[in-house]
Amino acid sequence: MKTRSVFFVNLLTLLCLYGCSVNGNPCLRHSDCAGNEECIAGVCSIPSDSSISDGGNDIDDITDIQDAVDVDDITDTQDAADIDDITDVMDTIDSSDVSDSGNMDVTDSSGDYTDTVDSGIPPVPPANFYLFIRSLGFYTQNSPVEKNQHNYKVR
Amino acid sequence: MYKNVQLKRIIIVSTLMICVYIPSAHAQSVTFSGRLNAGTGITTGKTDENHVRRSPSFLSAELRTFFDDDVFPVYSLEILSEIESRTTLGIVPKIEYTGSIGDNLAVTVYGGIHSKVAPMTMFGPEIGVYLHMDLGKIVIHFKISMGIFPWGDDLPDGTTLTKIDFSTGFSFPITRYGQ
Repeated sequence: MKTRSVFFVNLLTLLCLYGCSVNGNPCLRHSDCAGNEECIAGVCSIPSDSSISDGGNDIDDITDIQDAVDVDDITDTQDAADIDDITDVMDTIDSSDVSDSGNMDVTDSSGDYTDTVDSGIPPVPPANFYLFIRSLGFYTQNSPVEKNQHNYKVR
Repeated sequence: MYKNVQLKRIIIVSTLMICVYIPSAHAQSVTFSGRLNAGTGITTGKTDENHVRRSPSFLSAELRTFFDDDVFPVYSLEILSEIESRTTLGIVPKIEYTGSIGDNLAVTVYGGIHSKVAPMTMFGPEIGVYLHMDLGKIVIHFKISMGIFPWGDDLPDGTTLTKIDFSTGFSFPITRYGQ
């Protein structure tokens, strides 16, 4: 009984403090709206949070960040990696560069820069892996073992 | 914020001036009575366009004071609470005149200042009429009041509200001092 009365007292307190949410309802004064709303242009609506603009993230700060990365810096970076270097790198790419792991080592013409590029080709497992699978009684239809060992018959 | 505090000070001071300035020096008797009311009404106002909507329902209690059984002036202080939407608290100090229009009927007219004080302020003049009916054991009344609210932070910018409220209730004696 005491718990129930405490519950109703709390409920009444909440209703008195905040009222029901009437967001979007017509109003004539702020008291017609819930506690977190205001009557704006005849409609209850949650006011825009002014703390965002007051919290220091204002337009000046954004402009400052843009100033720090200026156009000259971008141009300088592009100059360093010019088109000739890119052409040289493409010339050195060969199918033989693709390793068994599926990766491809790319080196520019001067040899100063080497990078590993994923070629998109899946890594090739060793042949004895498929033999091991077969010894367990499994059959893999498209395994490289099948393609390379034509005389092998499934028992 | 400062404007809000200043408005509340004006409301409190004007209320105290009306309540304290009572010509009691030469009075032989002073009588206190009370009223309880409940009602609602309509509110009109202009925001971007004219709006009319029902006023929040309210409950109110009044304390009335009069001297030597004079019908004028009768000083009254009404404490009013709206109980819909957001609960508000208001006070209406007023001066009344009561005239009989028969054995069991009486009419009271009044003028006062309606002030919402919490949670936001709204402030303006109010006039109204009571029609009292003496039913023997109880005196009931019907009341019509009209208030204009041009000031207060409860109002959106550039909005003036007009309220017409209808209420009903009953009157009861409290005590009497003097002869």
